[in-house]
Amino acid sequence: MKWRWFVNKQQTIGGILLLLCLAAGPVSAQEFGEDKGLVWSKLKGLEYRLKAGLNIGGTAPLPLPVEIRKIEGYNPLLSVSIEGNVVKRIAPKWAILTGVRLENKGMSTKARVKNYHIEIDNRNNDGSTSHVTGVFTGRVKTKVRNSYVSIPLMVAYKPAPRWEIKMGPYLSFLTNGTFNGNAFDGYIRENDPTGEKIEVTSAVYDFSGELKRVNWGINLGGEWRAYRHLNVYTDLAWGLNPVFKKGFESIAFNLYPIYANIGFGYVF
Amino acid sequence: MECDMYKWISSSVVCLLLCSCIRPEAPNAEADITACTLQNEYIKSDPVITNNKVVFMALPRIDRTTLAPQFEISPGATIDPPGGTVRDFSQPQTYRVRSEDGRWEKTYTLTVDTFDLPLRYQFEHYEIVDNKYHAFYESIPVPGGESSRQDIWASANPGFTMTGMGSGPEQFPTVCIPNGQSGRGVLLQTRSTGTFGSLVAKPIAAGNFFIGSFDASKVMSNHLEATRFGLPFGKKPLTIKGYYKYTAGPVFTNGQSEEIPGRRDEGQIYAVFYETDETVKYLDGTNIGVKPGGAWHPNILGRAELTPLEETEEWRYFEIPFVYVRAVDPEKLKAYKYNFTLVCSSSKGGDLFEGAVGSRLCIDEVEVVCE
Repeated sequence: MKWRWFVNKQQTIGGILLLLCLAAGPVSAQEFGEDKGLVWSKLKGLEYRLKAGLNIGGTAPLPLPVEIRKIEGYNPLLSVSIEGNVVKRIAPKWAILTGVRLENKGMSTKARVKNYHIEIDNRNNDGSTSHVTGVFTGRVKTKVRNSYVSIPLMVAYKPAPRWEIKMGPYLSFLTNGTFNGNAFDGYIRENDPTGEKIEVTSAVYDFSGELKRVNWGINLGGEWRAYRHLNVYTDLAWGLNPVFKKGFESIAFNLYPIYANIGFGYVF
Repeated sequence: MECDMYKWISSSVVCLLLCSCIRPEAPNAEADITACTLQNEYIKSDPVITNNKVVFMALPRIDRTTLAPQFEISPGATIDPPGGTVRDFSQPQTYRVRSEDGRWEKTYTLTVDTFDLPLRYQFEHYEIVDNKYHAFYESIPVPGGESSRQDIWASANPGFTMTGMGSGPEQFPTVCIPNGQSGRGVLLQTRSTGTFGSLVAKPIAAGNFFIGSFDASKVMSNHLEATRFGLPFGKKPLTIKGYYKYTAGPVFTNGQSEEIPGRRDEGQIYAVFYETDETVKYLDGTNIGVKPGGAWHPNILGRAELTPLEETEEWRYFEIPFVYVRAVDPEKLKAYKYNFTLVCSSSKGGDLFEGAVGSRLCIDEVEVVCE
């Protein structure tokens, strides 16, 4: 099974269920001509869509802080999404769209940094903690792989019969989050750039536990109806709140998930 | 209409790219002396440069009143007074280095040390560095009433600061204690390095203490190279005498933090006398030890080690003779071609991060008997 990259178990099962439910529609429609439910829906101005796509983007600071000197590598990983939409037409050219999206947002990057501020809470064996701050100059590898259940709410406008543009907020719930990496090939200076200099060949970090459970942002997108039942779409999901919990200072700047979602949709 | 949407999407993509551009590099924020040279035939070896000190060891015949050291500093930084300025180093002189961005400044003390190493160590003098940890030094009386300071003792304390575990000087691995065998003394304690240490697979820090210097920059990368053992010595040592106390910590762990039941931690006190040359300017943690099979580094002439180092809660007197495998050349001795070091550690396997957190070794009133 190639499903291993796709999120956790609940999501996979959820995704399959969603697929099955929606797939049941066209099957019965073929058997009995026009499905009664769909006819009813169309009369009410409702439309259903099932989409599958890829997320490509980054969990990144904006603008890039001066501490980041060079991006030496980027990999969008394989981040997929499955989405079910309900579209309610409210005027000839206007509609409201909502649904459920199961998605991964991931990336891995390699960057060269200079005087990159870090703070780490150091836990002693006896349970006491102490705070380490410093500045790191060297290379940082970061891997992000977050799974979300997202709920978009968008207003859609049809400028032309085959075209649709949409915009609106979304709310994402983190179901499984990984944020880790390592710092290597550089040095740390304690507290500030005049502090004791300590070479670092490799230090691993894992901030997965510091990720926020809820994220929100703005979706902007467009869909083009290629065939009667097939849409091609792209959506930009711009996260407007940082991915880490408040008070988390190991990384000095806020990171926002900014991903483009590209894929196909089946329209019932 | 289609055209409009293309515009709209492409402009948002361009906006994203623009925002994400790499910003121009900020001016350098560091204010380091990275190298220092002093053209003088009586300088014995390369200087020891730490984060705020530069120390040259010189033959006692040197005239220190008109010396002009040259510096290499962080890119873009400035130094005051500039390199090449003639100054009187009868007393240590300070230099201020200011970073290129002007926000950071560091003061270095440059010392030209002309004294032979003292032969008696009472561990009465220490300073608290950066309000954090203790550092021992020797204070040598000078005719005329003043005393001269010699920074000959080193420990891993500067590396331990990075763990954040030292919430006070007493929490560091190397500490000055008020109740030595006589007056103050040295306490070495094996400490946990917490999560920070485990991030870099260095779970414990043994208390260590030695004659030489400590290059803190190496603690996380090549920690064995951080301990530079030995300083020039103009006599042939025969015996090390002194007092110690030792108690091992309860749980012995290996370098992977795994408990090794039944294994007891051991402390370590030893001294080494070795020759320096063009390739071997000092011995460090990689080559000072006795190799498996009993071989020594070829530059080592003699060694003295306290074995066994028995556990004792009361001060115990020790006397350890030097064992020589090579004859000492009196000419080289006169030219300070030999280095001497005394090394103490609260966990013998501390260099491999093996030991028991809580092991404590105390040392006081050490004397080197020479020929």
